[in-house]
Amino acid sequence: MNKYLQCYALFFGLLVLVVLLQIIFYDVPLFSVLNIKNILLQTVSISMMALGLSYIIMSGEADLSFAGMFSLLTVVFAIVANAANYFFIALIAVTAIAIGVNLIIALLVTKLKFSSFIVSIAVMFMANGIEKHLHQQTTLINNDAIKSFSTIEFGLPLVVWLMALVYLVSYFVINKTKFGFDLRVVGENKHAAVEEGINGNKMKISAYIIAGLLIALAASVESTRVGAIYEQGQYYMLPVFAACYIGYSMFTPGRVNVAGTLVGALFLGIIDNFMKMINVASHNVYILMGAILIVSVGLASFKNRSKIVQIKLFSVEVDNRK
Amino acid sequence: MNNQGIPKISKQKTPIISLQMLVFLILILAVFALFTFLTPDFCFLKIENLNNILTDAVIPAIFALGMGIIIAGGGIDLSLGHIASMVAIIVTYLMSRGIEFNLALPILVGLVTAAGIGAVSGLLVSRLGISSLIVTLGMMFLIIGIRQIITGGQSIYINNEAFKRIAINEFGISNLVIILMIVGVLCYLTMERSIFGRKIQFVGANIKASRFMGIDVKNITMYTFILGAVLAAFGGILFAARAGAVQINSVDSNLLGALCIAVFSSVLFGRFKTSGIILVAILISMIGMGMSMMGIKTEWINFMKGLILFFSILMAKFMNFNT
Repeated sequence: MNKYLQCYALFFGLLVLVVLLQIIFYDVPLFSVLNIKNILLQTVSISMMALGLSYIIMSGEADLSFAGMFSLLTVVFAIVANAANYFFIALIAVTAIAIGVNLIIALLVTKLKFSSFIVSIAVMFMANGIEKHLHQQTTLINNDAIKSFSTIEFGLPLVVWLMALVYLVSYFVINKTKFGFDLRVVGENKHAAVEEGINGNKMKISAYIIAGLLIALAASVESTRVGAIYEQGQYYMLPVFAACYIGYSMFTPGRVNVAGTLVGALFLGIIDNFMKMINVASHNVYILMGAILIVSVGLASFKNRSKIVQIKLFSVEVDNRK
Repeated sequence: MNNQGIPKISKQKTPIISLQMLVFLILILAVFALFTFLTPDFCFLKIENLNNILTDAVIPAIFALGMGIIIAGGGIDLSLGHIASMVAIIVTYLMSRGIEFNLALPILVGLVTAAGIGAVSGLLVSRLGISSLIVTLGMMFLIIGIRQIITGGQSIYINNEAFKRIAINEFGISNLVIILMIVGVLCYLTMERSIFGRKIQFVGANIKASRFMGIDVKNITMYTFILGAVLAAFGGILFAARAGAVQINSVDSNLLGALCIAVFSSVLFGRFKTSGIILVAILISMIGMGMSMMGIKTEWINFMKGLILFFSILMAKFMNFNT
């Protein structure tokens, strides 16, 4: 019983919170069909990035590069889409860049044993620099056909179906296949992975490539929906991290998991949407989001509170014994 | 007495200038020579320019000292730039209210605010066991929200002449450089010449061993965050004095510079080293100045800082100095 409580307490807590909000502010149409569609559409990019980050965290690394890469990719998408006037060319270009960059990060992290944290910060700021340079050329997508991509609907918007598909596949891959099992073992206990004969580097590289694919999809969706996001990448950093770490403390507490990430992303989407509907100023939303992140992670790590988590700058072990 | 089995401690005299410092000084000289030849008419060598380079290095150096202390204690703080912006706003706001404040009170209020924010992050990291990356990311967004409330998002112009005097050039060299020297000496004394500083470095190097040694690991971790936040806030105040006007996000971007300098220095010297941080700050300001004199757009300077971060990890990999 206690185990089930641990796994599902936060989930039902969040559910109750959302329902309570709806009951207290009963005149806000939070759960009207139109608004649900809206919430889902707004969460697509964040939930996809959060899923990508989940893969990387599952493999035992950290990543911040998406904050810079995301806005860079939206700008690139806008430029290519305007030049080529064709959705898939822009999508392919963005995907190639994202996977290429993530592959480079992965190689640096696995082969040269760089600290993934520092590498990703460096990439984040380099992406910022390039983005500022590119931005002078263009921001908005002119082609209406490409813009309308995010408004295609089959009951729900097409991109929402895409997100659902990505999550279903990820859930299956992580929980039901050998690949997913190996990935989790590598992240959980690298010594066990070595004993089991799992190639840890291969797993980490695949995780980075999947994350690259997901961030490219997220950037394409976001730029068709609202145009290129200039210098706003850092504002996506918090929701994405928060989604992962809200998920961290449910279903399988202490591990990042696919279902939890989805619930986290949707919860943040609902809260964000709700705050906008009751006209809370955006800076107050930031305060709330920051508090949610800290509280959710605090709850998750409350059991291990005596242990201080340190961030090591160098995964390089300097051996001074002669 | 049987001394077998106990390794002999060789009494080597520590050289006045370490190998790392020597390599680094050569690097600085090389960069200096490079830019001297690359800029038109050797204008890089002009005395005003050298003065500017030093002055430009001051604020990043103070940020990097704060970041360096936190890194030395085994943490990271992503909210330093935002703390500094917020404090700069608080200080200038209090001054612009025009009540007959002397300078000390607003500055004191600002520094105390920063210490409070640092204490909150430090408490969360040390008492709740949350990764400092997450805590400071959350803190960053809390600050983004809170500082908006103070001014409603408007920028503040500074009319207080006494405050602006902090950043002028009075003795042939900018006052900021003198301030940096004072801060540097204080930092050196606390971090490299006191038991407290040694404890911080020990906790950062091996937290388990330091716990067994009886070091108060939790409080030491918390103090690093307080010190870092106060130093960053001080940097923010100096920025305000220099710029003469503050926007709510004007100091945010200093985070990258601070991280870049602190990581570069701690990779090169293997531990917290005040002189190292200040010299790296001068190097980076030199590169920035040289690039802008060559007519390279400012957005590439960010890119360059990212490259320097890469380069510094590469050095850690291939130049394992025996510290």
